[in-house]
Amino acid sequence: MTDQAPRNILRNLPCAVLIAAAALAPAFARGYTTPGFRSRQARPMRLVVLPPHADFIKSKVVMTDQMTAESAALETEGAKVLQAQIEAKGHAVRILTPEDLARSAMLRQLVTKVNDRYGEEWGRIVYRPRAVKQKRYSAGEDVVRLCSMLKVDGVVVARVVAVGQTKGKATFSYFMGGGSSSTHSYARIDVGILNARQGQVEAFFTGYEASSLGQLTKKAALVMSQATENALGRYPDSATFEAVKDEEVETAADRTDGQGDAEDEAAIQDFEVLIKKSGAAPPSGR
Amino acid sequence: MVCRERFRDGRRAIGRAGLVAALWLLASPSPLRATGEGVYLPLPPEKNEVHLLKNAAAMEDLFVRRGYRYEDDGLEAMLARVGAALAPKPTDDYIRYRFHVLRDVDPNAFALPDGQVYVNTGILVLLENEAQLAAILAHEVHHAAGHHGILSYRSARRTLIASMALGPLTLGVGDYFLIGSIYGYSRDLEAEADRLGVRRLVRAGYDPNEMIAMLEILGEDPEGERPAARSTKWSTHPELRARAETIRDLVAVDYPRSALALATPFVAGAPSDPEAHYALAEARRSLGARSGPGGEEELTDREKRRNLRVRYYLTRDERQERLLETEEGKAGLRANMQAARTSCLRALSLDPGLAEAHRGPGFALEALGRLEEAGRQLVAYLRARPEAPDRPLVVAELKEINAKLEQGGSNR
Repeated sequence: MTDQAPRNILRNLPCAVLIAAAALAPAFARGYTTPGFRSRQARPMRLVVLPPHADFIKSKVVMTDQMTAESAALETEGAKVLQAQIEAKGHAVRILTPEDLARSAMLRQLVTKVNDRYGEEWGRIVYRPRAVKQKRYSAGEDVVRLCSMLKVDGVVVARVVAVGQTKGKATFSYFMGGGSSSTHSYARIDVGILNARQGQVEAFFTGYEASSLGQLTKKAALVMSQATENALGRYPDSATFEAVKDEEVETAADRTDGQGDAEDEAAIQDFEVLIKKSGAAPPSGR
Repeated sequence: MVCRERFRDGRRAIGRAGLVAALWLLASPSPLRATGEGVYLPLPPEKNEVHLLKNAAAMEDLFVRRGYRYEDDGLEAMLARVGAALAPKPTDDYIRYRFHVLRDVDPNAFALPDGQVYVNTGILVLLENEAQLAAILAHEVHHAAGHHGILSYRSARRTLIASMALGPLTLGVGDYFLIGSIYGYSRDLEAEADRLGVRRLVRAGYDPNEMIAMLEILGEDPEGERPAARSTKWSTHPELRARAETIRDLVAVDYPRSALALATPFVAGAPSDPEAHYALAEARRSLGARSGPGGEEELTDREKRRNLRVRYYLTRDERQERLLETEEGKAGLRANMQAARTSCLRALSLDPGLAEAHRGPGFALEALGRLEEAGRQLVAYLRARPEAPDRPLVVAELKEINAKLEQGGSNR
């Protein structure tokens, strides 16, 4: 009995770790933001939520299935929850619905491109999220075009990964694991905030919610609500700002320059003055 | 100890039973396993396959919802016409042939088991004639007609059950059913689709040699890391539009060599088309400090894998900075930006109203350090396109130029 006790502890350790992880899920929620985002100078206040991309994997003993229709439910609920929770922080948020997309081919094309480009960057962000602070990641020029078209300051892009373990898989895993099972169902959401100036990733939040297959398929709204709440726990409300170091503020401020037609015209005139000073002919095209 | 021995005996018995089960399953006759013979008779789905067909149907909605479908009435009508001439009569209720184009630069086409056939824009723009499109569709409809998806699923399921009996080797394999449909079936089933596809091609009046030509086109690799674009002579209206858009898409997904390989013959085939020159300029500009296609020695598989790793871990800017640390990279940047500027000027001479052709050289000249010229181009663009959606980006660039000029960085 005594020599079996340590073995039992070891067997049950992964299980205990998982239970602890589930209980502490909100504590695992991480937020990575640029100084400009924290100081509010580069934080987008008017946002549009792109339809999130969700992958729902039903993990069975024999075969792993991608549940396409169920993914759609997670995507729809995810967008609604993101809108509600960011709005609750005092920001103006609108959802880009499939109906909006159906109306404009140009919009559809831009959204696809932004999503694809963000998808490329997402892999890198997940690998090294701390680099968000250094403004390492950008989703490219199409974000600027999209924001300009929708008259917003930023874009909310989300990726959802949900894994639902069947009872068969859990039982099988339990036996194969010698009394402990490492299989568990969960939903994870990664939320990126892109700015309208250069398409840079200003913030990245990630949230995890332990769940069950039944909840994932039947209570998508609840699961997404909890996962998103965990993710956006550190999303600052519109009135909150943080003092950041001078050099960081300077860089952050660059991103918020040049808003509005008047400022655009000012930039053009500045250039013309500089050209005149240098003695060259002013630019044509007026 | 007694318990442990019993447990060990039990495991041995399970192991023996598993081995027998595995051998029985592996020796089971076709069509239980997909050995290269499709079933061209009605094949009702088994109970555990119904949800897979439901998933296939949901894919159609997913592609629309995510905006992946490429909408061009002319192109879709052509696909429907060619496809209808090739598709056999459906044998099951769940098969209904429909043909769509997906906005994806990957040169691929695939058929889902319920008769949805998708052709990517990345493959369409490579084709030289309608017969090559017919060759692709003939191949793909046979995957659906022969129930290759369902057979592959059954085969995989049995193999996995067998391997499960032998040991806990059944980790997630993704949705084999749909992954197989999109990325390819077993070699035997692919060969069968080719063989029967050629027959159907002949019956529909197309040249079967185009199947071989099409496969050769797909073998091209300008990027040095993945199959990509080549020249095309197919110049019907919808295809031209798809070609220009695919060049832009290739630039967007950072495959500039493929874009250049596609744009160069585009210009050669349509020397008076300003869009073609502009597309070439954008391809050149997006190359940055990289060399063009064929500019490097053929890479080994190891080097290709290393390049892919670099692409995965480093951002585009970081890769560019790394290249610019070398003299070759700097020379490459100068050459590409100069070529981009020349192509833009050519586009402007053909169509002075093409405002975008001012924007490209603006960025190119800024990269070359020719600030005043760059600024002039950007101002011309802003004046010509006051409602341009990328205006904030261009203004930000102009401000950067102003700041550099103020610091005395003028370089006319």
